[in-house]
Amino acid sequence: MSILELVEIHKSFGGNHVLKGVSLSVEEGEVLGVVGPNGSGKTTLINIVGGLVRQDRGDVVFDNRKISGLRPSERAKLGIGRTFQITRLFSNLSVLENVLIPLHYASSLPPKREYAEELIDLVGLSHKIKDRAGTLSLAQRKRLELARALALKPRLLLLDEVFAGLNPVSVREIVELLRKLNSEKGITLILVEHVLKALFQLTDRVVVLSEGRLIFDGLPEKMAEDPEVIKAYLGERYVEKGS
Amino acid sequence: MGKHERLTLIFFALLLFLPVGLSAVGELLPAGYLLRVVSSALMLTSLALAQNVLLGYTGYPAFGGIAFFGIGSYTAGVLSKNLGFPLLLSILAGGVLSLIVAIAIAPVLMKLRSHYFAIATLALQLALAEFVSNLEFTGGSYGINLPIYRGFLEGYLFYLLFWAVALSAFLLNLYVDRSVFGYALKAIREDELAAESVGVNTVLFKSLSFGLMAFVTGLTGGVYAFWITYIDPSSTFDPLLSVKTFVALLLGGVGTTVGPIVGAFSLELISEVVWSRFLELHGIILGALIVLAVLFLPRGVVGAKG
Repeated sequence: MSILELVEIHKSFGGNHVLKGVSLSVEEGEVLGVVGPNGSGKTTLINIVGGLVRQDRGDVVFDNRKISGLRPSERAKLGIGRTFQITRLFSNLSVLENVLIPLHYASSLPPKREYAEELIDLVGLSHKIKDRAGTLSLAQRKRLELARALALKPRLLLLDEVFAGLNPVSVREIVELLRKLNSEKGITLILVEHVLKALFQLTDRVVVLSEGRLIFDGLPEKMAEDPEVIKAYLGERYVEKGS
Repeated sequence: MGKHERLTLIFFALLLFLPVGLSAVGELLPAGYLLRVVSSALMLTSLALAQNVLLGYTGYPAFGGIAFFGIGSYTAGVLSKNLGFPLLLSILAGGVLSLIVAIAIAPVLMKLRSHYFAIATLALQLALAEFVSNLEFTGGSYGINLPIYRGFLEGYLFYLLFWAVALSAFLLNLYVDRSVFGYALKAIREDELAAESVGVNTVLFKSLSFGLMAFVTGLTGGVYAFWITYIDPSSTFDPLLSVKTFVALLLGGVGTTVGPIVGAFSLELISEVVWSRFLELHGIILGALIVLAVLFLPRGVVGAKG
């Protein structure tokens, strides 16, 4: 059953037509990678699913329900969690408080301190639980964002460049964590990513965006051979050379 | 509750008995004068605490928050003078009308942030002053003369009302500081987009915060109107009062529960002393003190320790 359905999404910022009719369907429990050159509309797509950006035309359907008119906070309550390309934490609040806020405001469960501690432990930040979020390192901030999104009890998690700027050890740890979340909790993942190596360890389906259109949808290993993808990344000349 | 907060509650308890103490010592002290100074300090305390909910906890500086002081005092004045409402009901109505106006305009006004928001609220304050100056039933630019209060607790009533508003404002700050409601406001202060994406309806909560600021400011304005017995647009929508509120808040410590009280009392007492000793230089001396405070205590007296 598909958990997320995007139908002919269009979005312009002024004269810049960022998304030109993107349709996409994501199955429950799937891990989907979204890749594409800079400026191809990946983050805009994530923002439209999360609700921070409203599309000009088209529909967002989550769990068989049109959610195009819902505020981001209402979508969070339905179970759409996200992380940001540049982390956006509540810097002057503690690690624990960062996780407690979604537990209070978006989760259907009664907020429990123990559950917040469990999530913080899951992302490996137990030793920092009382620290201000603003004092964490980049890798720790990304982990905390993940824990904060998990506090929503999400069914769909949108991860915008979660591996960017991390060292190989951290990347491996987060890959493991995401794999666990997907297989044990059944959370559907959509990853916008440039770190393809990490992405390919997680996903068996990749879509490629280029200039606001989906130009590829399929297995990761087929992606590098696709002439449209080569054209988008390297230019027309390389397509001819390859063929 | 922290040590400072317990001390503040004791301080409030002592202030309640100040009128009794003053009348006990009789002619030794200028009781009327002292009561007036402390009343002013309590008024400024309420204004600073109200603004603290919005600026300190929600991160929105309503530089023209005094607009609601004007709304509160005019509502109280018009209701009691033109329609014969009793005193307490008029004051309460001033607070409620401020709350309603604030909630109504907040969703639009609070699309602006930081300086833009500050300037927009200041524009509201100045526009309302003009508006009130041109209305018949508010007495235009001549203002309204209110009858001098005679009756129960005569001479102490307004002191007690200022005290009650200030104490309520302090309790409100305590609540915001440690409640789940306060978490939503702090999340908005820290990062509005992130707050929204973890389930906080930011339009709702920032409107509520703006409304609470307006309610307390409006009540304070209402008490002021009856206390001073004469209101006009330039004294109730006074930009200088905005400045004083912000100075008190910055001096004491933004975003702390006790800071606004420390700031308001020190500012009021310092300016009283400076004013009476150096009549011609008091503006310069006060200005210098504020510059020094901002330079050496950028997070305020209380914030510096915390």
